[in-house]
Amino acid sequence: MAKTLDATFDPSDKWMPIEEGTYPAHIKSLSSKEINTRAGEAIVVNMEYKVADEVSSITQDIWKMDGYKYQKDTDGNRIPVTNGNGEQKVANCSHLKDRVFQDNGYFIFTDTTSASKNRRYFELLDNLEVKCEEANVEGRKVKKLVLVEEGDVVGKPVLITVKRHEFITSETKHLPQDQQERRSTFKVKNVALWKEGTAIDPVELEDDVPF
Amino acid sequence: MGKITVKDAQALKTSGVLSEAAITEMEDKGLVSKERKSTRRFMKTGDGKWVEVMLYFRGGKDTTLSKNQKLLLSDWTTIVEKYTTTRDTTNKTK
Repeated sequence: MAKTLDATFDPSDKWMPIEEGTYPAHIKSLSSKEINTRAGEAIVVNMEYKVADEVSSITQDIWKMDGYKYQKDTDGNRIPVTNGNGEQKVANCSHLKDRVFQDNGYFIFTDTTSASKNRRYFELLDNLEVKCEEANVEGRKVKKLVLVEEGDVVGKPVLITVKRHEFITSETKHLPQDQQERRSTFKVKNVALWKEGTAIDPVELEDDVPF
Repeated sequence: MGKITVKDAQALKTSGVLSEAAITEMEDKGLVSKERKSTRRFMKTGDGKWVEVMLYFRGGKDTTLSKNQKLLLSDWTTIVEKYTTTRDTTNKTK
């Protein structure tokens, strides 16, 4: 007689792929580090985002899958799974709830000669409604950037745009192109303040203790 | 920094994550991209690579289309539809 275990399996609980899209989330963490680049010294700000409960009300299209890969037609298009009326089936995005995504980092070039490269970081501050004071430099009005800290942003409700990011593994980077191993992950490419979202206590965003 | 696509903004509205007012505010701030007026059309090269076909009036930004431009567009659409196809660009096949 087989021994009964506490482990369970729900056959209706099917794996769902992550689709590129814009999802409600909260900023979970922020870190910054100084690095040297060809354009001079820079500070890189990285953030993590935890997908909010409200994602469950968003739907995503369902495509035919072959294991973890999309099935494609001869033109390379994904094949939709349709219902009886010929419409593409959709499923809710509850599988994304609590999922944590990272961004590619925002560079802040501290040398004024590379100031034009700070646009992306300025736009991040602008999108998160972090105010920057104006200053006068050589007769020009410029924005004085600030370095965001955890206390400024962690817990803030945001809308994150998640996109597939392909990279070559560091172990195969030096090899000829046909021998390089390519992998993909999902990264946050755009952040906007989710004005109708509710900020949450940063404590709620901390990882659970694994025991 | 990129923008939220019209499709994503619509999905957020439908799901109740964003209200109509919030979307309008985001559009006004330039955080939502503008809707595409035409469908992207593709064809394959001799090496099997997908390329996008487009007609572009260089220098024509913020100008009004002339009668001849409209005729060209009409003929262009017919010929492009004959030789090209639309495709799912979310997951490209190389």
